[in-house]
This record gives sequence, C-alpha cells and structure tokens, in this order.
Amino acid sequence: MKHTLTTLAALIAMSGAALAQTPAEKPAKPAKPPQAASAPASRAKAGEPGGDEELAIAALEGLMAQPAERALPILKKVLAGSQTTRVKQRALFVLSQIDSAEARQVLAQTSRSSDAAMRGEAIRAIGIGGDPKSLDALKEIYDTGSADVKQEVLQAWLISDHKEAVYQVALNAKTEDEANAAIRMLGAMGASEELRKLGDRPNASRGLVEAFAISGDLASLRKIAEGNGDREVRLDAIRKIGIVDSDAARTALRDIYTRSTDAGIKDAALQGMLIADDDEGVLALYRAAKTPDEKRALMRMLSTMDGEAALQAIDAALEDRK
Amino acid sequence: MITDDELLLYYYRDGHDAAERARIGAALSEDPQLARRLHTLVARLDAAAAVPEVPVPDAAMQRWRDALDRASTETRAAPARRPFFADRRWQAAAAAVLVVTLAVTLQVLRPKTGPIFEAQTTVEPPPSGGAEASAYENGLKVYLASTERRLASLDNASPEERARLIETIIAQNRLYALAAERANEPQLARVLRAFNPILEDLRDGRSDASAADISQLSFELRVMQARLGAGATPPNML
Repeated sequence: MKHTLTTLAALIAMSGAALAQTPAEKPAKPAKPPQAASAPASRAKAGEPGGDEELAIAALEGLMAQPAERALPILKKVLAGSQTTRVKQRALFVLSQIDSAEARQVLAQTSRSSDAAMRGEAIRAIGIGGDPKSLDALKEIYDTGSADVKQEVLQAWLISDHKEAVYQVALNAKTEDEANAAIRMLGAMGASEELRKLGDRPNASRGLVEAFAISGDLASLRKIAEGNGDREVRLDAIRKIGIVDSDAARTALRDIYTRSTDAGIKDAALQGMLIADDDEGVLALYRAAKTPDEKRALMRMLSTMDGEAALQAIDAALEDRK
Repeated sequence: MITDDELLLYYYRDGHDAAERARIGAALSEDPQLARRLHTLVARLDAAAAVPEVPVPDAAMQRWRDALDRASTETRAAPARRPFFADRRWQAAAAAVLVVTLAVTLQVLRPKTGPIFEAQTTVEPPPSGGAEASAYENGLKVYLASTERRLASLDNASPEERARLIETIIAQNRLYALAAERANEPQLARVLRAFNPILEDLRDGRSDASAADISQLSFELRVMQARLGAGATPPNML
C-alpha cells in the first residue's frame, strides 16, 4: 500500500510545476466577476484537461482507495501547491469524502477563499461532506456573501438536506427575492413541513404559492387563497390550484368559483380550471349559470378548452335558440 | 415463496390479478427481506435501462429471432428446460424494462403515488455486506458507469438528444439519491444530490462552463465507482 501511495503522490507531484510552494489562501487566478445566481459553482473553464492535469486527476481518483490519514497530506499538498484550479477542485471533492476534523478545517478555510472557483467548490464539498458544524458555519458565509455566494450556500444545504437552515433563511429574508430563492430550495428539498410553517405566517409570497403548487399541497394553497393576505398572491394561489392534479383540486376550484361574488376571484378560479383542463367542471358551471353574461363567459372558456364538454354546451345553446 | 419474476410483475403491475397483488403487497409490507429483494431487482433493471439504446444490427436481430424460434420448439419438446427469456412473464418484464426510463421520469415529476415510490416506501435499508447489498451496489455501479458514458456522449448529441439525455440523467439521479437515502447511505445520497444542480444548469443552458462542469461530474462519477469498486470503505472515508 505504501508503494501505491508513493506512486500516487509522485504522479500528482510530477504533474504540478512547483508542488507545495504556495499557500492555499493565495488565489490561483484573479477573482472572477459575479455570475448569474443560477450558476453558482464557478468551475475552471479552460477547455479539456491537458496531459499533466489528466495525470494528476487520475492520481487523485486513486486516492479514494487509500486510508484517509495517508490521503489527507497529499490532498493538502495539492491544495497548497501550484496545481491548476481544476485539479484543486477535484482534490476538494476527494477531501469531502474524508471524515476528519483536519479535512473539514481545510474545506472551511477554502470556503472563505477570495478565489470564486475554489470557494464555490469548497462550499459544495461541505454540503457533500454533511458535517453539521461545517454546515452551520456556512450561515456566516451566507450572511456576508454576494447573491452568488448565497446561492452556493443554499445549494450546499440542499445537498446535505439541511432543511432547517434553508427555512431560517426564508424566515429571516430581507427581500422577496431572497425569500423566494430559499422557498424554491425548500420546494426542491420536499420540505413540506417547513413550507407549511411559512404559509402560516401573514403575507405569503408568490414563491411560496409556487412551491405549494409544485409539491401538490392543496390545503396550503387554499389557505392562502381564502386568507386575508395580498390580493394578487391570493389570486395566484387560486390559479395555481389548477396545477394540483387531483379531483379534490378540481372540486376546490368549482367551489371557490361558486361561493365567490368577486369577479377577480371567479376569473382566477376559471383560469385554474383551464390549467387543470377541467372542461366538465366548466360545463357544470355553465349549466348552473344564472345570467346571460356569465353563460357567455363560461361558453368562451369552454370553447378555449376545446373538449367534448364544449361541444355539448354549444349544442345545448343552439338547441335553446330553436 | 414469492419468486423474483413475481416481484417484478407486481412492481410493473403486470400479469397479477387483484388477489395476487394484495398477497404480494401484504408480504412486502411484512417482510423487510422481501422488500430488499424487490429494491435490488428494481435497481438492477433501472441500471440496465440506463444503458443508452443503440440500433440492433440486422444480423444480431435475426440470430435473436432464430434463438426464440428454437426456444419455442424446445419448449414444446421439453417444457422443464424452457430458456429464461422464453418465459412469457419474463418477456413481459423485459418489455417493461424498455419503458422504465420513461416511468422513472414520470414518477419523479409526478406526486409520489406511482409504483416506484410505492415500492420504495416498503423497502428497508439493505444489510451491510452479503449478497443483497452486493447486488444493490452492482446496480449502482452500473448506473454510475452508464451516467459517465452518457455525459461523455453529450458533446456529439443533437440539442434535442442532449436535452433528453440530461433530463433522463436528472430523473434517474434523483431516484438513486432517494434510494440511497432509504438504503441508509446518506453520504452517497449527498454526492448524488450534488450532481443535480449542475445537471439542471446544463439542461437549462445556464452554466457558462458546461465542459468544465461535465468534466467535474465525470471525475466524481469515477471516484464513486472507484470507491464502490474498492469494496469496503477505507478507514476514515465517509
């Protein structure tokens, strides 16, 4: 085993120009300009790895079969040395697989680096490592970081399934955009309990409505729709009930339409039924409609839906005229 | 005794009447070993379905047809020696494998009421070591290897093909992350979950460094294969 390890170390050393000469904190490149929030992991871009890089990367793969106490010094050397950013990013992933305080410390240190590419990968590696203390320490980086860094931290929490941290961000968000980013993440994590807790608070956001719709949480959507919050958010919640593909959702929309006297709410319920493709429901409303105006509006909606129910309604309307 | 093919037919809702389905369903909820067997079988089939489809050469197709004809004749002569794939139920299961990728995609995107999620709710964590765990790991290894191959093929794919491939990888990856979580493999689940944000960026065309992203993912896939291939996890490795 010792021979194997020596070979791996030699391979990595051979591929680096001047191994272990520069401190890890020193940025390998000038910090990159901020990128779109949706692409947080800023990786080394320059084309395909070259021959030396390939060799170093292959050697890093081999480290996975080695005991952690032997692999760790080599990884630290790579990170402190003059290897390319790409090789160092691979080393961070291997480091994320090592269960030791020293490995976690190196990751924590790199997650505060001014090199955006290394910092982003270190934050991701902390998420992969899943150490609770390291994950909690990301909160400080989140609070002080740019929009890109915040997104990187949210993704690390998603990777580690750290719902509580994302929930706290949504709860204490200073802007609607920030809250919506955290809520989207909670939706992706399937954190229905946390989303419901957010829904219990006044003034639910559109992001929350979207998360409830995607997770099929009809009860929470109805709660917002029938609450006293922002009217636009309530209308959005009614429309998005149509996304929930169930009989209960279709019944809810018919019920909201029938019970409301507010034209905006009725219109939102109809749009929800259009989204749900509930032509039978619209036909039932058409048959029960009391005024010619309402019948006309429902007939137009049925025509848009282009189903069998529309033909029935048209047929019945023409029959009535005879 | 419930056989593997009975389990598969149950999983794919094919060939069992209601009473038989109820019997197998009850057995799955009561017998963790049986649930593990189903989990392992599904993992294997899923991995097999993940291998990219390639056109079957005419000659190979003809040989296959000839073999089926021969098998059919042999079956009539000696029913006890029926070849494996001449069994009608296995043919049904094989047909089901062909649509498993689509099923996986649908199950991930739809509310959690479909057969895949139903099956998983009954699956207990596999024991460490032993034939069952090894089959589970084998399925995972095949999945990781096929994903690496598919990532490598993205460069040569048309935009539509590329989008379809990435979508399939995302859907399967989510499923495997979920399976790893259920199999009490949180570290593996985290690694698999870490793939998805990058894959989603690739799908949405958001990433400005897609070659670097694919290269990083390929490295991580190889590392995880090496780790699984090494058998026991080295000391202090997660």
